[in-house]
Amino acid sequence: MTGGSDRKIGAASLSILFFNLTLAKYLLVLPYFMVGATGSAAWIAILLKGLASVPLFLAAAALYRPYVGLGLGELTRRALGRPVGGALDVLVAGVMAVRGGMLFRILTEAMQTLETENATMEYVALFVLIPVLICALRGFGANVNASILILPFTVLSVAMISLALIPHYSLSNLMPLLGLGAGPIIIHSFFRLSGTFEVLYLLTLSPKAKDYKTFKRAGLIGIGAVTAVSFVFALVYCLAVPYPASRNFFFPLYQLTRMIKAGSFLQRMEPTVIFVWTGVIICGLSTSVIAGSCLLRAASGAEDGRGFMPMLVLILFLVGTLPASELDTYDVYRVLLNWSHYFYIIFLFAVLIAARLRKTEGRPAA
Amino acid sequence: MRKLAICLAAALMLGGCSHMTEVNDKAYVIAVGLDEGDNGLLKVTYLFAYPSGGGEEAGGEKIDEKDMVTVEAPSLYSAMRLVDTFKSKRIDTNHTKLVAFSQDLAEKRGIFSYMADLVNTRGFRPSIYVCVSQQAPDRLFRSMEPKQDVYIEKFIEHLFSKVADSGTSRAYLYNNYFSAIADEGGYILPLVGVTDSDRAKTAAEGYPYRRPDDFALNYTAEDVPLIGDGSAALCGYAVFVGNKMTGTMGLMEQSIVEILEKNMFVGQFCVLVPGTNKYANVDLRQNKRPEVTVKTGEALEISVSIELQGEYTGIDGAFRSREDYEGFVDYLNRAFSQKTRELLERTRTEFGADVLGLGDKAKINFLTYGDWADYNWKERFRNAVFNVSVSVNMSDFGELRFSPGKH
Repeated sequence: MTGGSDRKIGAASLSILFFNLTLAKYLLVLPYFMVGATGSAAWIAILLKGLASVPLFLAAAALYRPYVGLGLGELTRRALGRPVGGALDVLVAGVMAVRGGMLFRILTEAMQTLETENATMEYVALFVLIPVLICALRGFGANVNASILILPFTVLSVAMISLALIPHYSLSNLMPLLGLGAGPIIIHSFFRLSGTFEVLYLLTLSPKAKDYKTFKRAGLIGIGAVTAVSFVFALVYCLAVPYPASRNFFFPLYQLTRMIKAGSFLQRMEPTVIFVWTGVIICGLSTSVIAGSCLLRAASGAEDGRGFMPMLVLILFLVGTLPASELDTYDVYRVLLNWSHYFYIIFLFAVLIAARLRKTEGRPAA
Repeated sequence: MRKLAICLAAALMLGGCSHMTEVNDKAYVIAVGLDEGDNGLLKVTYLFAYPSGGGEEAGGEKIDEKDMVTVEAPSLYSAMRLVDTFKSKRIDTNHTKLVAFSQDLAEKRGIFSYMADLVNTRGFRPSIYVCVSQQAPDRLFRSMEPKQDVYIEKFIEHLFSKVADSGTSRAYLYNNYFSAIADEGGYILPLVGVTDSDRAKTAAEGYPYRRPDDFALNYTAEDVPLIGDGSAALCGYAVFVGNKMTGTMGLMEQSIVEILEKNMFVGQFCVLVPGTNKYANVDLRQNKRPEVTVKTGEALEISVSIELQGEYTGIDGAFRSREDYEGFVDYLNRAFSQKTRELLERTRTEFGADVLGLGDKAKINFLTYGDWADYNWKERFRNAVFNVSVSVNMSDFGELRFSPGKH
């Protein structure tokens, strides 16, 4: 297996890994994109997006049932043959690295701006990438432990923001209820920004699940938890910042934290919140690196995927430094989210259906 | 290997100390003033914190000329850079409490672009107070000499506390920015003036101001009888339509705005009792948010229903019978309704814009922004019909109902 021991993990641990992996995207960038696309109805769109991920996941999981012990990379290679399957595995690992690179750049810019203004981006990058690599090399166990450590802080920070901003809430900020219209909500919930990519991740990490039931439970808990937290956050953002002002802040988490002022004591919370979210993204990126190495290991037929990890981390860094500015990074990320979805969904179901039609043999999960 | 890793980690952590900045290395800006400069420039005044030594003499910070710097520059940023070059310490705006725009600047050039600059600058917090100053900001800042407060920043906080009790207050930078780019087309900002110490002499010679007709608060913003020692005071709201300041609201209107936004906890009103030349002092509380309903039909109809709780604190021999007493409560209801309607009518006719943000209540009637935009709120508001009802419930518990003594 890829790094660490071959010890299987339970539904709670797998769902926490999934939670950290997806939360960074859902919290750091999605509210900004959703408000831009749907206006004051961003909270509805994010809720629908989460709900739409459930049938998608259940359909994929039903088709995937015999192959939980294989992992998506291995299944692709077996179902489509080594040349095509291997190439697709490399392609998906590449897309994961590009997306991870954009997220890495967004975080690095935020850290540099808020905490180390005089340092270069590369210097800050070092503090993100080294823990990501160490965490990935130490394997699932270390990653799960780090994620469990971060989880209460994540939930607490969202709860703190939600409560501290109560004086800023105005129900009229949610009106008109459908924001820019039902069309944009449906397009962005079900097509453009949907959760297919997260399902791909889950399938890639599935060999770590004890059995199919664990895998399914982990997926549902993970999707539910991420949807709940991101829905609360989007609702808080829409309640506290009226549209059209809300579309001007492209880092809503930061702006909301800045708005906290409960007396003289509870304010200036940005550095604390950045610290928590750095932890979330480091855990998320290292899980992403593990998933990428799983795919590359399957494509290459190597015994151990850990050798691919430094290379993937380097790709994260190089891809992250490509956009000229943070705004460009957001634009690239938005294009990726909007359009790569079609590729993921075709890839995912093509592999699963091909595997079923060819009666590809699976491997027991436990 | 492990020891080497620990040493490396420690070195990285300690590396942070190489760029450390002591509190004393920075010049903290307490307030920023923006005024119209010559040749299209912007006159920017910085009021810096003057660290007092503590002990017995720390009871009040004296604002010295040296603590205030005024420069003229093309923009807020260039002004800051300019001051940074000749100030020995690095300028830090993270603790700025107040940004004051001069009335001249607000009327002639408008303030939105400056407000957007402030929002985009991380150094300025979302919760700093924003106001319009009747006088030039340097004069306003010079007048900020706290007598009852230990620090200037406390003085500023107390100055704005009446209009900044809630998170959505109109005194905060972000809320004003939100209002400025909203669809209603107008907004209001606290108006601050400097009390005129010269008037104190006039007052000693004889009260120079007109006798208030019904409410003792019926002063326009320009006419507020500020007699004092020359310190800053709130005197209503500055009204912005589009980008520029187009008018003011006086003290009574400020009170009505507080009531409409449920920002009034206790309001002391001195009301002329009809048919007499005596005043009744009334404390009013607001326990309930006003009900604002907007009917967005072909004709726009806005209904406001306000409930207030009150008690008499002084009746100055005004009531001689139960009828007088009950009649006065009716009068209060009518008078508050009239004042509120007058204010709303004024926004419609004189300012021609929904400066109080009533449009927020109307958006609930629309499903999408497209529908809301098609309704053309700005245009419809100019023909709106207002229905106002105010109900004042006076509490009698333990109070004298009728005036004692001779009448």
